[in-house]
Amino acid sequence: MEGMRLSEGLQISLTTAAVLLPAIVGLILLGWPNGTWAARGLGILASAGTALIVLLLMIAGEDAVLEVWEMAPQLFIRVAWRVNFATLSLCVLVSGIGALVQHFAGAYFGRTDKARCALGTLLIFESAMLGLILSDDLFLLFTFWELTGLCSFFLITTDSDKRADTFAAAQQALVVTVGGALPMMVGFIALAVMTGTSSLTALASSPPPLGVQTVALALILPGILSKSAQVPLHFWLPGAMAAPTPISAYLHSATMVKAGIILLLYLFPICGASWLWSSSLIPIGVLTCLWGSYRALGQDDIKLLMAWSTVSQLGLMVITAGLGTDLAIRAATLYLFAHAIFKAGLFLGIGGIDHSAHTRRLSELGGLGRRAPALAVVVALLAGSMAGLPPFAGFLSKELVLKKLLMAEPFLHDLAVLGIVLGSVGTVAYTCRFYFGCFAGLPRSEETEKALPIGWNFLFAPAVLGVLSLFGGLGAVLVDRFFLEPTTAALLGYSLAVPELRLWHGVNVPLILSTGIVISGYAVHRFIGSKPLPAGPLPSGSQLFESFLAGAQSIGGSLNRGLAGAPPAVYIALALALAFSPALWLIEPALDQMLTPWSITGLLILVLLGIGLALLVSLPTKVGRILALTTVGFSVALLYGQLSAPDLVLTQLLVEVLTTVFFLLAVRFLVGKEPNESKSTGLNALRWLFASLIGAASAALALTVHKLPADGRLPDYFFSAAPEVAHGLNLVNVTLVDFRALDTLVETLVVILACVGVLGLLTGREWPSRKKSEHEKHA
Amino acid sequence: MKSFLLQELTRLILPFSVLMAIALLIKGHDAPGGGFVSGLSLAVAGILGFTAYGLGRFRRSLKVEPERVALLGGLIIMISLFAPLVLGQAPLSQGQIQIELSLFSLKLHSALFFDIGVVLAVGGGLCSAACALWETSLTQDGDV
Repeated sequence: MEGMRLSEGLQISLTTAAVLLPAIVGLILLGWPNGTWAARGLGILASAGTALIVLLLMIAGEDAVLEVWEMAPQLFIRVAWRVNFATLSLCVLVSGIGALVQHFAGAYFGRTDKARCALGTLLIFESAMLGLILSDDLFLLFTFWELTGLCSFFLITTDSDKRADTFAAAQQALVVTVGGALPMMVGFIALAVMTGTSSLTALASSPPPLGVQTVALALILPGILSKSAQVPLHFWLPGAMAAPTPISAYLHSATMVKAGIILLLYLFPICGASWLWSSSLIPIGVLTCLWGSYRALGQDDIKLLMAWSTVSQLGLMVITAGLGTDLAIRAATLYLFAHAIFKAGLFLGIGGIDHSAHTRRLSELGGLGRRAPALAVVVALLAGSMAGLPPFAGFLSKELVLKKLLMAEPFLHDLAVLGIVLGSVGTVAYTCRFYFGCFAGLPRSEETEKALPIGWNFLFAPAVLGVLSLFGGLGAVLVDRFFLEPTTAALLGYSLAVPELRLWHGVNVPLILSTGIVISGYAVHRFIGSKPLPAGPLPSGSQLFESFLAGAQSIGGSLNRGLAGAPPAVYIALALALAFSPALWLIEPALDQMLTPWSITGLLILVLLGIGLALLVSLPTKVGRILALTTVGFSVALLYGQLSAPDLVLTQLLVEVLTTVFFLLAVRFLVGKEPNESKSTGLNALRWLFASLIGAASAALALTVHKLPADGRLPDYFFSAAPEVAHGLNLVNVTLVDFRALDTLVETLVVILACVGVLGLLTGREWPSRKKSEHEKHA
Repeated sequence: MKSFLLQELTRLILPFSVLMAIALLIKGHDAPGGGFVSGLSLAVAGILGFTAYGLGRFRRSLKVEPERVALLGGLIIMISLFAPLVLGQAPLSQGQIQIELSLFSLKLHSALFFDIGVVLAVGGGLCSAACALWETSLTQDGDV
């Protein structure tokens, strides 16, 4: 083995290739000319190829942080992959299920053009998900995080030609997850700025102080909770079921909704010591787990049932992670993998049922077991894992969760036990409802009577996942040694010396609990029958979301109506008042500053300035006033010269010239509208008052700022650094183009944008204008 | 409305104001001046040009629309933002080359490139805005 080790350079190339491969193939698929696509196998190849590369890295690579590109580390812009057993096994999960979903989707969609676009986008999503898992950098992770949401938006709208509601559902999903990610971004920034690093590995090895942990966690949680569909931000997930089944199977059960849980697992070494960890995650998880189970019992559409079950099980994972011990993290990891496998399989199975019986309604399905026996067996494997029956992987992971729960500390413990036990009872109940409703009994509609068995092109992918679920449980010891132990060790940074995972531990408390759960779940199923439970009086999340959107629109509309008709003077007054009213408090302390000695020249310039001001208020015509204003500006420029600031003089003079020109040009629009002074004295007095207050405030502001003690080190630094660092002697310009070049860049772009605005407003033409002939006509 | 006196004066002044803009740009790194000021004086020169000769002639002799000049400036700035990345430096990093000729030495500085972008963006942008104002107000008066 030692001889097989990959060099670091090769490891970097392979990891980057694994992340990029699906996206590149996806782009090729998207760009493939219509009609002629023999490219169905490409997607499977890309995903399987990625899985193989990742497996190779797993076998022959070393745990490392691979710096791919340190773009600007001081700005936290870098591309770095974190390669260890945990991230790589997550990648195997994502790309493996990706390949299976691609295979299933080939049969599900047929050779339509829509399928080509959907599969291409699905591959791009896969890359984003792999990037999210492998990122070592908070901000890189965030970028991929948002990319997954964006892909999800496009994928949900796949069926927009058939269903009218896809766009609203996609919008809801996007707004909720992106909205949640905004505070998360702030949390990431807080973490990076307060610790000086944005590397997950570095953060995990030296966690920030507890206060920072709590603040960062509080900010990051909305992102996690919205992505992983936790109450009350869960409603987008059932809505996202408007997407075709393979897409729901991949994005909205197996991978994207796990991003929040994955981030939780990554964050545990960083923020896990905070008091907020358990006290926020456990209650939210319990609520989600219970509400998801309850609503799953209330659905008629089996796909919606499965969506609510995903909500509930995501809640279960959040509770487990929220217990905040290393053993709980281990249990959550196992459950994450088990769930991804059986839930993706179940969604694909639902796709098969839909294809066979042409309906997804429990009120119409039934008796499929005799008509499609192979499907019934495959779904039984997956449903057994979901319900937590032995000997499936689901049983194993639920056992582990229960065991950790019983070992947990009393804090919030009862709540978590209650949530997990009741949630699991609900899980068993809705699994029975789903499985027996579909496969047992007699067909409830004529359509279902005509149901046909489905081919292996539909069955292959769910069957592989079902067999995995079975062997995951049967081979518990192997799973523990070769998968769970190294994964947990990589996540936590240390190895856990705990008893091995086994299917049979003898009769113990978790086993008794499990048995009780299964029996009472079945009893609940028998008791409520197949009738859907009512949703209850609470307004649904999507109704709340709709009213939130409507409210935002009406507030915006009324603001617009209120302000749009106001004269410009109102806007100007509002802006000035907002800008200067705080400065009014500075008037008094600023008064002491007024008595500094002035030279004769300075006084003469001041007199000139005064004359300009007097002319400005007394001249009757607009042009005259503009010229008076220019006089004031030129006097100020002279004043700068007096204070030996040649740069300011130059700038002030040129700006003054340009302002005058623009004023004179603009004033032509106002011909015939000379100001009417004799309107009313009251209004005039108000204007005088307003103007004097603003003037006094700005003067006070200027004087106070001037009085603030200047940091003596700054000029020294700039004088010594300018020639060396920036190779220039003019400090002003060196600052503009080097030290603060980013500011200059943005300011210049603002200038360009303002000019675009002016041109658009004035001429309404395209910019830059293409109609040369018109100008020539003018000439 | 074209005045002979203004045209002749402009003919005299315009080359010098453009020259001044260039000088301000090149000397700006060590002496008072710089990209923004240079751009402003370029805009003033442009405004002088079209007020004296009229928009049509101004645009014809300029060969390129001021709007495009502004866009070019923006492009140059974006290039100087990203170019150092390719060389493995932080964005907007600057470097310099000293060129020694027998008679004089010229210090070429990569910040000059950035500054040229500023000049073009500010000069072109302001000039095009002034053109638009001029054009529109003329149309309003009806004396095109």
